[in-house]
Amino acid sequence: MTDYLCISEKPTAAKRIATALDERGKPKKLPVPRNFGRIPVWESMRNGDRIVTIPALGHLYSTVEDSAGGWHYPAFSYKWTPSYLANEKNKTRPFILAFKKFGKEISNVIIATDYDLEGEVIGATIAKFACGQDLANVKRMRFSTLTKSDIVNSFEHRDPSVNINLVNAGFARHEIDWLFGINLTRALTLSIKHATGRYKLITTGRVQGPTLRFVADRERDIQTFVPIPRWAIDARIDLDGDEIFIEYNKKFLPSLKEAEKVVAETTGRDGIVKEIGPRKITQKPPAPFNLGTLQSEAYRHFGYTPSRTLRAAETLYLNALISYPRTSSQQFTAAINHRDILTQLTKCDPYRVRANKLLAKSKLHPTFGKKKDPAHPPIHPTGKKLAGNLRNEERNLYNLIVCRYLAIFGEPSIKNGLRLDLKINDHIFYLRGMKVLKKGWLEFYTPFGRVDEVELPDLAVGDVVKLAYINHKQSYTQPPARYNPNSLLKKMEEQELGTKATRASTIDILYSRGYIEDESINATDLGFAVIDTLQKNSPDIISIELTRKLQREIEDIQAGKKSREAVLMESIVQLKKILEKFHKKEKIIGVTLEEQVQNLKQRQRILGKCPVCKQGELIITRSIRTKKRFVGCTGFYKKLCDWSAPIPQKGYAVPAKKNCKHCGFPMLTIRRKGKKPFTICPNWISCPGTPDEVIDNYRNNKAGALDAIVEEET
Amino acid sequence: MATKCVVCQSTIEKGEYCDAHSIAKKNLEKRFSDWQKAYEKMTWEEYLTRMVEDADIPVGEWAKEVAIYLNNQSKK
Repeated sequence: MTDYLCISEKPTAAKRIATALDERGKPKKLPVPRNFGRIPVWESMRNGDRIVTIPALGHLYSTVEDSAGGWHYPAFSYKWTPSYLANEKNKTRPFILAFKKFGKEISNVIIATDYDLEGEVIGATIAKFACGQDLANVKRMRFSTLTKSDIVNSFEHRDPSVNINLVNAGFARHEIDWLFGINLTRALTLSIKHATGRYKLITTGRVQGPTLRFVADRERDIQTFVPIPRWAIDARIDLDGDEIFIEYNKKFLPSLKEAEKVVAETTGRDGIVKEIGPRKITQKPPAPFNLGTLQSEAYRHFGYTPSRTLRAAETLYLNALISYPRTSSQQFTAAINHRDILTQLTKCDPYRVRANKLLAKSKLHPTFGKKKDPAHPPIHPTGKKLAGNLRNEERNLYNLIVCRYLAIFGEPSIKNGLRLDLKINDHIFYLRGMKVLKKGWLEFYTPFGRVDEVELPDLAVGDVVKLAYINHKQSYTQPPARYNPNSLLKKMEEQELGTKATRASTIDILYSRGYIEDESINATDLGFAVIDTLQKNSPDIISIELTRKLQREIEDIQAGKKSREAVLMESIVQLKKILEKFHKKEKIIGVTLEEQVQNLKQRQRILGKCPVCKQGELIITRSIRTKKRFVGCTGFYKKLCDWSAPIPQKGYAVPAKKNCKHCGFPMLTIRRKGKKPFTICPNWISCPGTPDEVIDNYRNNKAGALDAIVEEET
Repeated sequence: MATKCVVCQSTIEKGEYCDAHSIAKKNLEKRFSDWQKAYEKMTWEEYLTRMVEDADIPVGEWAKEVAIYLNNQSKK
C-alpha cells in the first residue's frame, strides 16, 4: 500500500478529486486537530493505495520584503512567506498546518491544481515550503475537466515531475509583479509625502499603469474632440401607400450645399429600378470558445463583465459542467471524444434535437481558430447534466457554451444579400434585403446566432416608383466610444498586456482604486492625475512596450529559452533605471499629484448648481457643531442662499451626476460596502417623488429614517 | 517659473494652456477649415459661438471650455 498526498486548489475541487479517486465514490473526511478549523481533508482508497486530498485556498504563500528598512524604495530584496503572515486578514493558516501535518507523514506528493501558471505556483509553493519536497520528486496530475473519467485518467497517467519551466515562469511573474508593484506604489506615494507631508496611497503596477493609460488616452480623445458637420439624405418611396426608406449612395455629404443640391435635383421626380443584384454570403461556423471570446460573447448577449463571466465559468468548471475556462486555445486535440459529449447532451431537453442531429453525421469536424494552448482544450461542456443549484448567470453562460459547442460542428450558413438600385435623376439610391438560404450552424447556435431577414419589395428592373419624401438631415462626426469592461479586455489582449487569467482582475483593481468609473469606462480625475504626471515625468512606468517585453520574457522562461534568474536580473536593472529617473523628479511629481488629488476631493463633494438660488453650488459637507453630514449651498458663505438638507450618515456619498426627475435637484449616490449603490434626491423633504412614509418616519426619528430607507431599498 | 492654465487654472510649467486644453485648442483650430467648407461662409467667432451654444454638437468638454474662453476673449 502506498500513501499519496494530493494538493488541490480549492475545497470544491478537492472534494471532486477525492470522490473521483475513491473506488466507492465515498471518500472519508479525516478528523483534524481543532486549530485546523474546518479544513476538509479527504481520504480515498484506490487499488489498495491511500490518497489524502487537501485543498488550498488559492495562494497560500506570497512574496514579502526581506528587510526591515521601513517603507522605502527601491526594495529589491524579497522572500516567499505564508500569506497569513504577509496579510493579517488572510485566513489560510489552518490550510498550511494541514499540509505540514500530512506532508510529514506522506512522502509521495501529487500536485492536482489547475494546470496553468497560477496553479503551478500554488502547488509548487505548498509542496516546497509546507511539505518540504524537492520539486523534482513531486508528481503532477493534469486534467481539463473535473469529471470522474478525466481525474482518474490524470491520476493513472500522472507526470513523473512538475513542469519546472512552468513553475519558474509562475514564480518569476509573481516576483516581477511584486517588484514593480511595491516599488512604483511606494515611489508615487512617497513623492506626495516628501513634497507635501501628506499621506495618500497611490498604487500602480506592471499591467495596471499601461491599462489605465488606454482609458486615459481614450478619455482625452473624447474630451478634446471637435466634430465635423455632415449631411445625410433622408428619403422614402411610396409603394402602394406604404412609405419605404431608401439609402442614398453616399452615406454622408460634407457640405450643406451638396446636400441641398441632391434634394433639389430629386424632389418631385420618380425613380427607376436600374438593377437588382443578389450576392451570396457564406459564413463559416465560429471557432470554439476560449476565455477571451467567451467573455466577449457573454458581454454582448447578457452584459456580463469579463470578471463576472470568469467567476460564473469557474463555478461551472468546479461543478464539472464545463472544461477548464482559463484557456486561450481555439483548437481541439484528438483526445476529446465529441461523440461521447454529444451523446450526454442528448439527455438534456434543450439540446436533445440538435445533439441528435449532429450525432447522425458520419464524421464530426469541429471548427478551429488560430490560438493554441497546449495545456487545455477550448471551453466545452462535459455533457454532465445541469445541477439545480446554479444561479441564473451560470445557467445563461452554460447555455451559451453548449450552443457554441454545438455550432462548431455545423455547416456554413448561406445568406442572400440583395440590393435594389434606384435611379432618380442621375442620383443612385438603394434598398437592401437579406434572406437566409441555408441556416447551417446558425440553427445550432440558437438563440445566440439570430439573423434578421429583410424582404425586398416586389419590384423588377425598369419599374417606376414614386418618391414620397426627400430632405437632408444634419449630423456630426462622433467622438470615439468609451471602453467598456469587455472592449478594454480585448484591447489588453490585442496589446499583449497581462494574461488571460489576470486581465479581468486588473480592470477590477482599477475600479476599486478609484482610477476608473462607470460601465462606459471613464478615467477619474485621480486616474488622469496619475497618468498625466507619469507621462510627463516618468513615462517608462506606464510604457506598454516595457510591460509587453516583460510578459514575453516570462513566456520565454515557460518555453525553457531563458532562466528565471536571468529574467529577474534584467527586470531589476530596468526597474532600477526607472526609479533613478523618478527619484530625480520626485518633488515635482509629488506636488502635481497632490494638487490633482485635492482637486479631485473638491470635485467629489460638488453635486451641481443650486436650483434654489441658481448661483451657488450644492455640496456634501459636515456641520462643524454636530459633525453630521448634510447637503448645503455654497451661497451660504456669501449670504445668498441658506438651503440645506440632511442626508444618510452611513456610507460613502458621491455626486450621482444626474438630476432628480421630480424636482430637478442634482442627486447623490450612497455607496456602502457589499450593497448596491443607492441614488437619492437631496431635496427629499420637499421632493414630490419622496414616498409619504419616508417623511412621516423622518418627522418621528429624523435622519435615521433616511438611513433605514436606504437600507431597505438596497 | 510655474504659471496657470488660462482655462482651468491648473499649474503648468510654461505656455498659456495645460496639456489637455492645449490639445483641445489645436483640435478647434484644425477643424475650423472643415466647418468653413461645410457652411461655405463662417467666421472664427461664429464657429466658436456654435461650439458653445449649440447643445446638439458633440464637442468634448475640454474643447468646449477652450471655446468658451476664446469666445469671451474675443468679446472683450
